[in-house]
Amino acid sequence: MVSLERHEKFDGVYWIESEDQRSLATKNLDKGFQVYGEKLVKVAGEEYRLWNPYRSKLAAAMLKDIDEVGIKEGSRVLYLGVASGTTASHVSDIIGVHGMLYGVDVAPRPMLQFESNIAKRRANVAPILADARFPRTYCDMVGEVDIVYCDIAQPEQASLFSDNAELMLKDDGIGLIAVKARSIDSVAEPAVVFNREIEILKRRGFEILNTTELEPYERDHIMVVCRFRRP
Amino acid sequence: MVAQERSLRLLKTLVGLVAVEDGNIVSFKPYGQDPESAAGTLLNIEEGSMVEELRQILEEVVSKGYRLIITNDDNLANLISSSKKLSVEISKDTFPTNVEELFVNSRLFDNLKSYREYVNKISSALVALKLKKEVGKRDVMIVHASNLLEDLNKQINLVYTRCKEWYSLHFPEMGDVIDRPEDYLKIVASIGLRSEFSSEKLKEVLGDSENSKKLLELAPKSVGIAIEGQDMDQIRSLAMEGLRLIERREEVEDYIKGLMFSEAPNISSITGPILGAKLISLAGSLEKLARMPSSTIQVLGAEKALFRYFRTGKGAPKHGVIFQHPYVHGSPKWQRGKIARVLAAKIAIAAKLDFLASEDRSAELRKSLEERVKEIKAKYQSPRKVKEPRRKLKKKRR
Repeated sequence: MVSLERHEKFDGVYWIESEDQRSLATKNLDKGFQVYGEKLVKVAGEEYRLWNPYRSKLAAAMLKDIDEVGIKEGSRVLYLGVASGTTASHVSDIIGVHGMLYGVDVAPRPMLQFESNIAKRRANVAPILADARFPRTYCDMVGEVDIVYCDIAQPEQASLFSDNAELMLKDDGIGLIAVKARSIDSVAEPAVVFNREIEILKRRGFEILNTTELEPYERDHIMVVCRFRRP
Repeated sequence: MVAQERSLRLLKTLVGLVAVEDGNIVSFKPYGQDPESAAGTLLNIEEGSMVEELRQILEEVVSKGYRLIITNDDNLANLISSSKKLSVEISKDTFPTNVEELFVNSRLFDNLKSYREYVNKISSALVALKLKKEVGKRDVMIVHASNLLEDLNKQINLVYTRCKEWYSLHFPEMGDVIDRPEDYLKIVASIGLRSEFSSEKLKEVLGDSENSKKLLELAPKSVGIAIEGQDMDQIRSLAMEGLRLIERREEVEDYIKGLMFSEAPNISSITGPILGAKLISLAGSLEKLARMPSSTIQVLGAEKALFRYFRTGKGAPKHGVIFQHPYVHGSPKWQRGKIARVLAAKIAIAAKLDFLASEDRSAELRKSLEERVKEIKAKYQSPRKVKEPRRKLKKKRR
């Protein structure tokens, strides 16, 4: 016996409950297809994809009760560090046919999977094989977006996130950035690292809306949600 | 009053090149009818080549009176800068351009959906094209070539051994004189019967050496049996096979050298290409070698000894295949462990350089390695004396 419930806070996200488990899920835009081995569940004639928080930081943040994520139906999203598209596939489900997701990654192998499992099969996805540190090489291809989502484990993450936002994020647009303490500074205390990154974001014009730690799904990671106001 | 330079923004979108002034499209050149050719054009621009669409749009804007182009893209800027009639600036804008709105408002696309369809198709085609061009990492070739080299060595040995055993029925003494397999096989293949030996023929194979003379002396006195023509033909065929394998081995060695110098120059400078290739092969790939701690690299190839040590706690191996490095096998036994450790450390650094960067820092690495080895050799010139075992003095009962 499986039950379905809309998520109270997040547009396009559902709770699917079976006897022993309650999972997040999104409605499958590409019916019948499993992107990364996730479970497909049929309820009331619709197909949903279970969303694993151990494999997707966005799902982890939602389970840790982050206040808002900004991503909703029709959103235009710039996804930096899309890799093979595990999280991106759920974002694509949420934004639906009227939304558009631009997925940027520099590594060829995961991009190959992203292209064949997701971009080729979903019209609302555009893959971009490029280095996110140089957004001017692809900003004309992307145009303006409502959301920038960044999951790139690099020391200069906050500044590359800001560079991308400056060029592509609309005013009052939402930025989401998954910060991994160890990637930025492998010896400092995570709390110190997180504060440093948040300061950089503030200086670049972001108003911090919310942060959550992602334990137990990820160690020493936080998700920061912020709003962009051009200085 | 200075005539204001009319400036234009040039956008490199996924569907084509667009010249925009004050939010209006002044000129538009699509990349072509199908996604694949569009992707090809985009890739050409990225690689710095002039494309027809760019030439056309520049001509058009010049004819409309514009002299300054502002663009976000470095490659476009470079290509435009070669034009005499236009000057170009890299945009310093920090705000987005709503490209979708631009296209839909200009009626170049029926609606947003059709524009996005193009975006999806062309971006996918571009990624596919880039992935195809990405020359597969050739370290996989190195692994196979190194294994092939091992196979060839075994085959050569097998053939040489069989040929020598067989031929020794006829001329056993030759095996004592000639120790290089290649020479032995050459003599058998080109001359054959003892009775055919002559100083000219031997000189051709061995050059003017002691061995030629010795063989000439020994041949008539040999205790070996006589062998018929057709049997000797068989033996000679086998020898020729061996020589072909030796030639093939040289070709493979050259191939490995080429691969190693281009894919892993840093490792090659420390270990030489053949040993370097063996290490990559033992690790499985250049990436795996780059991820290994230097302690593992030190014992790659000595797995039997290593796991025996894990089980019994006795006899930790000091080196695996890196023993083949002259710094290791050429040094006295008591220095080898330390040198092997230092060598492995440098190999580890070299492997990371080769995998992650395109830098060639071989000169630095070699120098640093040589210095360390010198230090070790200077400090440990003689083996440490084995300490006298401390004997428990037995208390004598009086």
